[in-house]
Amino acid sequence: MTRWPRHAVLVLLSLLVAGCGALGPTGVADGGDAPAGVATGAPLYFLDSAGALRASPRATGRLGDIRGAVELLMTGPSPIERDAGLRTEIPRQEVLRSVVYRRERDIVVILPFASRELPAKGADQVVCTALAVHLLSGGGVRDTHVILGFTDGESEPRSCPVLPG
Amino acid sequence: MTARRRQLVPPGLRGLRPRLVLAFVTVTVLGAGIAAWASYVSASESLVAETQTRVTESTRRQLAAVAPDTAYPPDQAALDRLRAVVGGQALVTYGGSRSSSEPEVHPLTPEIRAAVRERNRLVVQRVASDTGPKLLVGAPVLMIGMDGARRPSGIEVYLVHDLAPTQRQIDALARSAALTSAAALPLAVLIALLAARGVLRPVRELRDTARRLAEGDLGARQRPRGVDELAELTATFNQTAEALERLVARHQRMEADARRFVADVSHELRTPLTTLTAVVEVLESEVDRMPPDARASTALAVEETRKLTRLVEDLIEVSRFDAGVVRLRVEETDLRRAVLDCLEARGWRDEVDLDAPEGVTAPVDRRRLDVVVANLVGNALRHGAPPVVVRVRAEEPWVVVEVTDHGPGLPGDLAERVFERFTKADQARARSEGSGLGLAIARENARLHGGDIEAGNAPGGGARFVVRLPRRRAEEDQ
Repeated sequence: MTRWPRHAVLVLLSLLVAGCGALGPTGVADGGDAPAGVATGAPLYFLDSAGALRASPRATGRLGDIRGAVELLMTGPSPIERDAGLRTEIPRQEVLRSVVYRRERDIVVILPFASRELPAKGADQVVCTALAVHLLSGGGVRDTHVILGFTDGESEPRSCPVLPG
Repeated sequence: MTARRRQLVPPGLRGLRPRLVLAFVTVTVLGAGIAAWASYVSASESLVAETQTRVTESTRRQLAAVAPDTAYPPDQAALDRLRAVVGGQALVTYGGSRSSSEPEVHPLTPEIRAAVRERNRLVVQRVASDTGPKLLVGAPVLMIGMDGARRPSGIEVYLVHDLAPTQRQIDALARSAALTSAAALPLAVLIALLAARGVLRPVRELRDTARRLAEGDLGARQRPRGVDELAELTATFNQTAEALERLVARHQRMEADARRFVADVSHELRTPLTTLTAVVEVLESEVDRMPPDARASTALAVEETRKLTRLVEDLIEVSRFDAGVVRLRVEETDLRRAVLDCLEARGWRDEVDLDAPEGVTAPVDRRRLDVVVANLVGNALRHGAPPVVVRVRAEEPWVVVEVTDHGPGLPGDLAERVFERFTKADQARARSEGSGLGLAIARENARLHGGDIEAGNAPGGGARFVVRLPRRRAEEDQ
């Protein structure tokens, strides 16, 4: 007669403690992936003497965004890069403007060219540069493709032949 | 055990209704409390989890958005900018340098610093502080190589999120949980009272019906309602009452039949007995001229006829008492005079000592008082030994007539049975001179007056009969 209420009180007390422990101290717990995206420069892709794609980080002091990297790429190799034998197949243009946006998982890069003005190697340079920036800023490249937009239409979604994935 | 339990239950809770209500209210409030508490616990847990997720997600998103634009290696301005982007109490470190320490940041634990360096993952830890619980978030900013490998950049961001608002939300949840349980209380009491009334009403009605039955209302019945155990009990009760009523009715009928039979037989016997008595008296007057052997037979016949006449008369008297048709003719009577008349009429004056003061009067039926005194004195003369003493005295609010003999007294339990009909003082003596009804008739007469007769033994031995009659006339007699 006198014993069971004592048990009930104990149960209620333990419930109370459990309830109040909702904000009690804890150990260190995992909170998910860490943010990423710092880099010493933007990775630009040029072609070496053999015509292979070669990454050349431009020391801008920060990674920057895809559009910045693409516009830097369009200005062509720096004198140091040219001395190292790197060249570009992107035609020189008076207007170095581009537009970059995401379409679902893909990255759309709109260039100020007509499609015939850009050779395949030049297109690879743009695709690899955009994907590399995306990769270094913490994005995955496995399922992400680049769609190039021209003044006369769009390319198929493309991936970079020299990047993982 | 039972006694102990009863002591433990307070007196106010022994009734069925308080116990029902208490049990119901306890169960309801306990259930409501547990339900409210369970929902409180799960709600507060999900609230905490949601808060933690929100804080870590927003930290990760803000850092990921600003990291590509952050100069690397970062200068002081870059660290301060990162701190400003995360907002609130945040600290950004890179090697030995750190963001400016305004506002003051809650001290970080060594564990979270170690975890940020070792795990390359976003980590959280909850700590208690004087100003309430805090959530510590540690985020290393990673650097990804062209091969996809993730390496620490050396930039570490720490955020201290104040959980006091969350604590307040949880407290509000607890209050509402307690309130919900408390709100169940009056409702539970109300429902319990209604339920108890529904359950207890048939019980109460059954109790009232049983009480009516106990008070002699054999027709008392309870209409069974429903099909529950109480209805079964009611049906059983009704069957019991019915059986009892049938049995009592049968007994009453049999008793009435028997009494009517006795009364009828007595009346039927009276007329031939009157004739027989007349014939026997003629025979008695001729007894001197009879031969001696015929003389004895005649005397026996005379004696037995007289006894038979008396028995029949007594039977008729008893029948009249049983039938309830006896009426008193009360008049204020001097008791000494009445007793003297009785003794003289029967020729007992010389055998009985009368101890009666003058002037003791009482409202009595003279004929019936005469029957009472004659029966008692005759009984004393027959069964007891002389001297037989009759004492009359007033003993408010009674007058008392006491008849004492000096015989062996009443043996054993005879004092209790002596007024029963046909009780024999001596079982061995099958035939007594009396009818066996005299004392029964005497007691009926005394009771008719509102008094009684008690039988017992006098201190010096010998039987003593005490008649008490009311000295004042009771109102309802007239």
